[in-house]
Amino acid sequence: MAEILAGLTDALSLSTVAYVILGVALGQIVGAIPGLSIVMALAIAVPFTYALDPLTAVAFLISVNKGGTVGGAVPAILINTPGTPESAATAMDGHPMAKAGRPMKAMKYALYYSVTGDVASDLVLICVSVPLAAIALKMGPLEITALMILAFTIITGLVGRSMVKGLIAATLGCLAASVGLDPGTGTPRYTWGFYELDDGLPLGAVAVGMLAVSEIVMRVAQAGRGGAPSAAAIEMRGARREDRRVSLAEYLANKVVVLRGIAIGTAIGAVPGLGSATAGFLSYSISKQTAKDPEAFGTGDPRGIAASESANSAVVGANLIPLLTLGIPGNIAAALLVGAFLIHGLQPGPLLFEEQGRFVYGMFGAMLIANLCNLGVGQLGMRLWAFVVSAPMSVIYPGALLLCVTGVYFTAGAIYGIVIMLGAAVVGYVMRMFGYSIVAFIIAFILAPLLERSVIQSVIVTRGDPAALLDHPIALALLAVALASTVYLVRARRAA
Amino acid sequence: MRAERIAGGLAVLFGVFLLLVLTPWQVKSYGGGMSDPTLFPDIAATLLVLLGALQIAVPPPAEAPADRRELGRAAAVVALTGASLAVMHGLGYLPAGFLLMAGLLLLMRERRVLWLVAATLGLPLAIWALFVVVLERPLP
Repeated sequence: MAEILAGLTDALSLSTVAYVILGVALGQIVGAIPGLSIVMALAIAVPFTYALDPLTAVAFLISVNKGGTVGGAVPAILINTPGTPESAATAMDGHPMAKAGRPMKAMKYALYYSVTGDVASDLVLICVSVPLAAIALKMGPLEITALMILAFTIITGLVGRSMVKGLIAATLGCLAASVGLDPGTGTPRYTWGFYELDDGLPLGAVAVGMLAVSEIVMRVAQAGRGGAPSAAAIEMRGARREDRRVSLAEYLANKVVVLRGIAIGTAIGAVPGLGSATAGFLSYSISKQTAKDPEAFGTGDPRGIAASESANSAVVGANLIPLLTLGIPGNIAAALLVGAFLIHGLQPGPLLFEEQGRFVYGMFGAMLIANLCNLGVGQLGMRLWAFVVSAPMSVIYPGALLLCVTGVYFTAGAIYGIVIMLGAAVVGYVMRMFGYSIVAFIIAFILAPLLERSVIQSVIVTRGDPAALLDHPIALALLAVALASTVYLVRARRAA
Repeated sequence: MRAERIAGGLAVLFGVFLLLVLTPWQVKSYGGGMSDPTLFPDIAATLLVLLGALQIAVPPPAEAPADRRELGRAAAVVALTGASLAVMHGLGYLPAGFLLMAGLLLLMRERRVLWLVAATLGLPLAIWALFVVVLERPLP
C-alpha cells in the first residue's frame, strides 16, 4: 500500500503533470497532421526524454501516444483524411457530420468517446497486470523462450501483407541486433573493429531512422503529386448552439456501442501484433451490422464515431499488458516504450512489479492523469488543431527531419548516431518500397537479444539435452500454439 | 512477380554470403555448440536462405514500384542529409540546419518566400535556442 501511495504521489508531482500536459498536446498536434504518425512522434520523442527521470519520461511518452489517438480524429472529421490510421473509421461518420454543419459536435463526440475508451482500458490494465505478472514470474527460461517464439510468429504473421516477407524482415532485425558483443562470451560480432559498435547498433538511431526518417524521405520523394487538402472548406462555427456541443444525454445515448468498442479494443490491444486500426474498423463494422438501422451509418451517425474512437483508444492501455507482464511489446508504440525503459535502466517484464513497484504505480497514476489532461487539452485546443491541419507539408516534413537529427545527436552518440540513423533510413525506405514490414524488423531488433539470452539460459538449465523440454509442459504448449498460429495465419492469407 | 523472385534471390544470396564469408570473418567461433557466438547469426542466415527460396518458389503479391523520379528525389534527400552532417561536423549545427531546411523546402517545391525564409531560418534557430539556451544542452 505504501508503494502504491508513493507512486501516485510521484505521478502528481508538478514536473510529471507538466510533461503529461506537454505530451498530450504534442500527441494531439502530431495526430492532427496527416502524414505524421504517432509512431514517428514517439520515435522522435524518445531521445529527448534522456535527461528526464524515468517516471516523467515514460509518462510523457505514454501521454504522446494517448494524445495522438485523440488528435488523429481531427483531420479525419474536417478533411476526410485520418491523421493516424486508427482514425480511418472515424472519418466514415465524422466527416459527413462535419459537412452537415456540425464539425465541433463531431470532434467533441470523438474526444469524449476516445477518452472514455482510454480510461476503461487503463483500468483493465491496472486490475489485471499485477496478477498476470505474478503468473509470469513462475515461468523459467524455457517457458520465456517458447513465449518469445510465439510472440515472433504472431507479430510477423499479422504485420504486412506477406508472412514470408514479415519473417524475412524479422530475421533481418535479429541480424541487426546481433551486432555488438555476444552476450554469452563477450566476443565482438560484426563490429569491424569499431569500438562504438561494441554496444550494438543504438536503438534510438535505428528506430528513428527506420520509422520516422524513412517515412519523411518517402513523403518528400512523393511530394508534388497533388496538393494537400485544406480544412478551410469546413465552417468551424455551427449555426446553432446544439451543433457545437454534446450534451450528457447525447453522450450516454451511445453507451452500448461504446461498451462494445471498449471490449473489442481492450481484447485486441492485449494481443501482440494487432493494432488500433484493426480495433476501430472491427468495432465500427460490428456496430453497423448489429444496428437496427445500419443504413444510418456513414451519414453522420454519432454511433459510428463512438464505435471507432472508443475501440481505437481502448487499445492504448491494453497494449501495455503484454509489455509490463511479459516484457513483450504488443505493437510498435509499446516497442518504442521499451527503448525508453532501457534508456532509464528499467527492464520491462514481470520483475518490474517486484523491483520497481513505486515506478509502476506512478506510471498507472500518470496514465489516469493523462486521460484527464487529454480531455482538457482537447477541449481547449480543438480550434487550434483545425488550424494546424492546414499547415503546409513542405514545412512540416523538413522540420520533423531536423528534429530527428537533433534528437539522435543527443542520445545515440552524436555524429556516429546520425550516420547509423541515415543508414537505417535507407534500409527502411528500401523495405517500404518492396513491402517488407518495418514493424516486424524493429520488434525483432528489440526482442532478439532477450531471446538469445533466454536460449543460452535454457541450454544451461537443460545441459543441452533437448529431451528436457518434455519436463516443461507449458513451454511445449506455447511452442505448439506458435506452430498452430503459423499454420492458421498462412492458410488465412492464402484464403484472402 | 519477377521483382518478388529477384528479392527472394537476393535474400538467398545474402544468407549464403553471411554463412560462408561474413560470419566466419567477423565472428570468432569457439568450435560450435549452443553457446557459440556464431549460433544466432547462423540461424538467421539459414532462415534468410530458406525464406528467400520460399519467396522465389511462391512469390507474394508485388508492391507498386517507385518510379525513377521518386527514387532520384529520395536519393537527393539522403544526400542532402549527409551533406548537412558534414557541414555540422565542420561548421556547426546552425549552418547545417539552414542548409538542410533550405534544400528540403526547395525539393518539396515550396516557392512562397515568406515560408522559405521563416522555415529555413526560424526552425533551426528555434530548435537551437530550445536546446542550448533553455535546456542548456550543447549542440556542435
